[in-house]
Amino acid sequence: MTDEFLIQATGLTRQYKMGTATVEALAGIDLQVRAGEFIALMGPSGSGKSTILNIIGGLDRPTSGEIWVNGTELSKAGEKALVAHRRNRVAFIFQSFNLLPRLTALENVELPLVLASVNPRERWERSISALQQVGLTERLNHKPTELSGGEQQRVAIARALVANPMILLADEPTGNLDSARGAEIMGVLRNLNRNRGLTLLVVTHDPEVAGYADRTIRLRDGRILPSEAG
Amino acid sequence: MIVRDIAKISLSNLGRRKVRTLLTTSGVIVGILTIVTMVSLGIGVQEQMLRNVRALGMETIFVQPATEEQNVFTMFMQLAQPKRTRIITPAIVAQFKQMDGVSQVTPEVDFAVPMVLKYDGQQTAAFPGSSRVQNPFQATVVMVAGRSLSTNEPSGLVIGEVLARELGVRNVASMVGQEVTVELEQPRGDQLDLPIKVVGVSNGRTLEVAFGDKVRLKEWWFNKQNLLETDGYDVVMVKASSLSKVTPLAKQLEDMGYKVQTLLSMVDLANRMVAIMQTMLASVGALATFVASLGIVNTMIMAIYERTREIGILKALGASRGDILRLFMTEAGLIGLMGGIVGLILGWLLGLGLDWVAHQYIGSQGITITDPFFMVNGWLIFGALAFGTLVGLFAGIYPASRAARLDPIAALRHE
Repeated sequence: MTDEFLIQATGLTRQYKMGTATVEALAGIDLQVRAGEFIALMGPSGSGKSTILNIIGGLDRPTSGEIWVNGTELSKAGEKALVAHRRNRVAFIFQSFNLLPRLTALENVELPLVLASVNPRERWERSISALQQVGLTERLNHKPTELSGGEQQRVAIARALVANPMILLADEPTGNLDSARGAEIMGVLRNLNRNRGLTLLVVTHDPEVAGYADRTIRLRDGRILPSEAG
Repeated sequence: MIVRDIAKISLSNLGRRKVRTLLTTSGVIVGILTIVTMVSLGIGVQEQMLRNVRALGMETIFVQPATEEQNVFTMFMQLAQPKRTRIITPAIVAQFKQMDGVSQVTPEVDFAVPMVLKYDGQQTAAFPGSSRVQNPFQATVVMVAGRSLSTNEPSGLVIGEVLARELGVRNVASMVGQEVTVELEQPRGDQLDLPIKVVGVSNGRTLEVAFGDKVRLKEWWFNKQNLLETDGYDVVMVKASSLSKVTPLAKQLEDMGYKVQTLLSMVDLANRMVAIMQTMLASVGALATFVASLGIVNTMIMAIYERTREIGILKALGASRGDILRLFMTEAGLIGLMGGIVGLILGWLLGLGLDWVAHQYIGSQGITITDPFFMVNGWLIFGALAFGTLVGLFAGIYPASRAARLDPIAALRHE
């Protein structure tokens, strides 16, 4: 691997066993991402977009191939290294927000720091600051159900930011929002990319969302389609 | 994760399903309650026995006549006492007194046959006892009027004030010096009326007959002459002049062919019996607790199923397998600990309640025992809480490790 790329995948495959049948989610992917890039992953359902995010995020392992993220080969990394990877380098944003319903907005943002054994005072300060970055200064002690969809996704982004990751992995982040709220969220994400140099990989169906990205990667049947002009 | 956060999250998760937590805990509560009540009974009984045995003095050696070996056949054929092969006659007692290191010898005859007391046209049933060979549960006899009987007294009796009242006597002290008729009736129909003078009135319901009278009653009952020469005494208490003389004296008496028991060996035996009783009763509680642990396993599996998505989220946010394992183990352990705490308190209270009932009943029987039957000590408190927690943790192993191994992607897709 070279130091040029933050993420570098070669010959990445991922097969799932569904009963007796084998489903090929990734059929040999080569991918290079530089630090600070904003990439959109597009393609029909089942094309392997989410699988790529999960592998980069250390939630899943490839069946074969290599995947280097910031100098760590994830396909061979142990459980401890993967946990450290999930804690410190990457963060997820989901379509359905995935906030814990019993916790307040602030407590949800604190959660990654709780898992990382950060002391209560420091995690409170860092969480407040993360919430400010996504433009949320009120209703911090409300439960997710008392917040709008856009607010919930902002809380989720703050939760993703709070541990200072290098890479933000977003799986259809605007899928559950109307277009106005979706545009707001994409604005927040683009600002984070520009101002903080956060590397962004966003899975989406929506060409408008892809429009925010520096580069769009199209997938079909587990393969990357040859890029169009630009 | 730091311990405080794990505890906080576990408690809030338990608090979220209050009814279910309560029901699951109730199983542990019942188990621990049973164990605490039973073990505290064992501790109390043991304490009382030890206290009474110590009051008797550890220097005392009990010597009993040797008997034929018993087998199943002879036990059923001779429902009465086994045949004595070496009896303790008055001459032998005199011999005991001459032995080196003996300070006092008290021979005793057992005669526990229900009798009828008659006085001034009234009558009541009684059961003779002895204040010298104490029942471990019996409190010391206190004289209300007159005097107590001395060793080897030829005739006289000490009547309990409850018995005296049953005979229609208001001023119990007035009985001292009066004659009471002791009536024995054989199953075959023969009847004996023996007038005996009252020398004293004691508290409670006890009846004590002087040694000489006891021998007379027993001789009539078994239709034997010279009972002490033919059957000998039933037990002789030999008191050693010092504790160090107890073991050699006991050995010497044993070599003479008698059955010998020292208080040391009796304490040992009593301890073993209490331990067996305690183990048996506590096993019931342990079984109940085991059943409760299945309830905990069930509740935890349910909780993990409901929170599968949450586990996926936590893993995506950087929770390790160990974090998930600790979270669920703590929850299961807390169910056990709470069951332990409540079970301990309720078991303690139940013991106090039963103790009160027991003392009321015993008091109504004219026996005074002030010491508690149920006692909770530090070890029992610690043991109950530790056992409850361990049962919870044990029950948590399987569900928690299942939760820890969940595939995060599948968990995140779970609805």
